[in-house]
Amino acid sequence: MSFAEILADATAREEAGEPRVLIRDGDVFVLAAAVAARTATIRIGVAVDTARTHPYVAARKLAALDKISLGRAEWLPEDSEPARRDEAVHLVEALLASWGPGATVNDRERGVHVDTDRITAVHHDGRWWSVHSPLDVPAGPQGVVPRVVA
Amino acid sequence: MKLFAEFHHSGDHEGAWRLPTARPDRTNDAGYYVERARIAAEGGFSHVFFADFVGYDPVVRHQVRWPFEPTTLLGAVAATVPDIGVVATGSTVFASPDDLVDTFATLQDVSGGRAGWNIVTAGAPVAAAAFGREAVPAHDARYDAADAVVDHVRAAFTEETRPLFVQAGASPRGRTFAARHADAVFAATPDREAARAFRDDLHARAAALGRPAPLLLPGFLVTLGSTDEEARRRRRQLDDLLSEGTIATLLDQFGLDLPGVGLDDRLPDGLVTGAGFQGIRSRAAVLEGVARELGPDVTLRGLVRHVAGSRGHLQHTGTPEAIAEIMADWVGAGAADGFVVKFSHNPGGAEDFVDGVTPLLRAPGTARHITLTRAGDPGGLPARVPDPPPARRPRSRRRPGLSSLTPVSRLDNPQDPP
Repeated sequence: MSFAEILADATAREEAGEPRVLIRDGDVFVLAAAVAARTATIRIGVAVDTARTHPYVAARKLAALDKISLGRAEWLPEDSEPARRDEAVHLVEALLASWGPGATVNDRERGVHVDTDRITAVHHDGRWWSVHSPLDVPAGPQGVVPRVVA
Repeated sequence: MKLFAEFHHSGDHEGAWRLPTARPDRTNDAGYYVERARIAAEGGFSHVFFADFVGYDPVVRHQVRWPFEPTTLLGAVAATVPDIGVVATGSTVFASPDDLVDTFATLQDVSGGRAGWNIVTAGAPVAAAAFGREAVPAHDARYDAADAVVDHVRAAFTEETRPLFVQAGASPRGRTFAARHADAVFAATPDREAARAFRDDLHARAAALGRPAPLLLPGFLVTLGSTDEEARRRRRQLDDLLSEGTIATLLDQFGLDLPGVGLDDRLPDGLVTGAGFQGIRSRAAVLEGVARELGPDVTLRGLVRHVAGSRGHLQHTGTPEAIAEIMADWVGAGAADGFVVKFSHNPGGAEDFVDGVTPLLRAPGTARHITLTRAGDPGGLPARVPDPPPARRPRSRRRPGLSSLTPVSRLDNPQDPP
């Protein structure tokens, strides 16, 4: 579906009082961000193929979507291999939690933007994925973006 | 002349977030970027440009980095601001070719054909850590792989529907890549004659390939004041806001090898890139030229204060008249087709440019008269990239919120109260 069709659908659902939409087309994060910018209350989910999306990429895009939507983001991890999906979910959630509460301090006087002592690296060498880093952005309003089930 | 606006949250100068007027409390606020894009659209910029540096870098302690993954952010900007192009950085190392096709096809759809892809082949070592790879691929090998990726992306579109291709490589291998693929090249070329030689070289390389030459758009850091003294005062204020942590690490990203040189020591002759460095290789020579101009007594601290914000790009601190003169001079001399304007600070820097410099660039009948390139004009970008309409709409920079269509006005991370 085109953006115009998806936006019309999401807007109609929002006006009808439906709680959520799920984006499955194209780059789901770009489409969801565009829908988020043009809607107010409906929750916006993205279906993420965890077989082809690196968990680090998924986490930083989910963080962006959650900020853009003011906390309306959710995601549906999908994979033909359930164990790979579970590994990706674990990593995405760990990365979204890697900046502790209050990490962004914006202390102009001392010149400290982020208290990096409140950031914890994720260290993971799994069967499918490997990460040795915290997320490079703070999470959005919801922190760990909630999952939905199909 | 083509103008892109690069937005780095609080401005390009690393000290800018500490200004009293800065809004670091809005680093997680997409509406802030929408406001910046609106100001750019009203001020004659054809595109907004967002960099991306994948991977956690502890310098975030002292500097605002890039708080949004840019393709997602620009999905929101494109859906909200109707009259500006959106150029998002996408790495050929950390996204698959099919993912890049999906991303830029979707951005084209959302924006009505206003999207551009800033093709990045590099990855900092911190990105490799994020992705669990031991090392970033070697410099030239990355370009070889990227050739195939860009061919793949290009083949997924028709020439009329593809996104704009922007590229920033200035090494010899990067120039070959740019001549083969790019519509526009974003370059750190602070010297006018070097920029003219670079542009001539791009034209020669593109002609050899039977392609139209890409536009050369040097990065241009502007620090504006209504008088020279006011502009210099602003620049000094920004330099004084550089934390020691920032000063000590600012040049690290270019792989400069300066063992044993303290911040207040004189620079040695010859700034060299460490042999194993696989990041942005072309910048050491640029910085060396800058250091030479500063004279034999310049210290490492002095060089850092001078290149803060610009990091080797063309820069000027002065009045709108002086900025407009430089732009006209470079374009007239065949050293540029336009500029990627980098603002010393925001909010404020973009507003000052649009209020002060844009009217000079638009004013006909003066020595510096420049026609902002229209879509389809010779020397312009392809017609699929719309220029902003030349007619001025009344502008109000205080328009609240994202747009009348959206309820989003401000976003703060509740975990991070301002």
